[in-house]
Amino acid sequence: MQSPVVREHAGIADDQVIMKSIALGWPDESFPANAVVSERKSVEEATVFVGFGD
Amino acid sequence: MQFDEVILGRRSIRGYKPDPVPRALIEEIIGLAMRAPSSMNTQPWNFYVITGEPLDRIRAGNTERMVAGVPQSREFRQGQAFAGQHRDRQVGVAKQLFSAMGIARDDKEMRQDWVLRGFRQFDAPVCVIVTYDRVLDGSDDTPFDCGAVTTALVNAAWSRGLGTVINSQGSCSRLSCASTPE
Repeated sequence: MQSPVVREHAGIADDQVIMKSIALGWPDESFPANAVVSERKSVEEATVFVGFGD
Repeated sequence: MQFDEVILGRRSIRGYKPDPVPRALIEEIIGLAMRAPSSMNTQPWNFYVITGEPLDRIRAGNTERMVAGVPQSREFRQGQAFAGQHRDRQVGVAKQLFSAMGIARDDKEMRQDWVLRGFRQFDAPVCVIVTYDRVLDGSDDTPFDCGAVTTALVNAAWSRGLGTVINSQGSCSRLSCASTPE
């Protein structure tokens, strides 16, 4: 269990566990993949309502 | 920007302008994100914000290991490979992305190029590594709380005109993290 490249170059302390990385910057609006909007399942599909009486 | 506008407008950004992001703005965004709730207010999260040369070295190191076929290494647990509806969704968004990028299903070279982009953090000028305190290892609350702060962070960034993409490739070293559908 290691992410040696990141740990080395970012100097991540041993008492920290690496969770995820987030790329961050100003969007290039001309980059085609930036226009992609991923789909979401419906609230109905995701949710169980209990005790609502309808 | 109103809440709905942020939530509904945010998308994952995989192409960036090279312009630097001011440190003060990143501090503001992290400050907003840390209003996220956490279990018993433990706030297990920490951030390493990387830019410039160290980030270039990470990109180069990730790419080198990836190309050399070094087995992946990540520090969080991964379940079994996706199947059923989860696999369908994974394939669905990959198809959307490949279609937008004009990458054909059988174009191995371009697909590989796309995977390598992921390992380069999509060439973003900044990378934020979310870590948590190792003494909390083993609790499911901890990754849950890291997810909360990360969601808040990407939305705070979007509200300031900044794009993000949450990825694992940038913080691990090899392929199966980024496995793309056949």
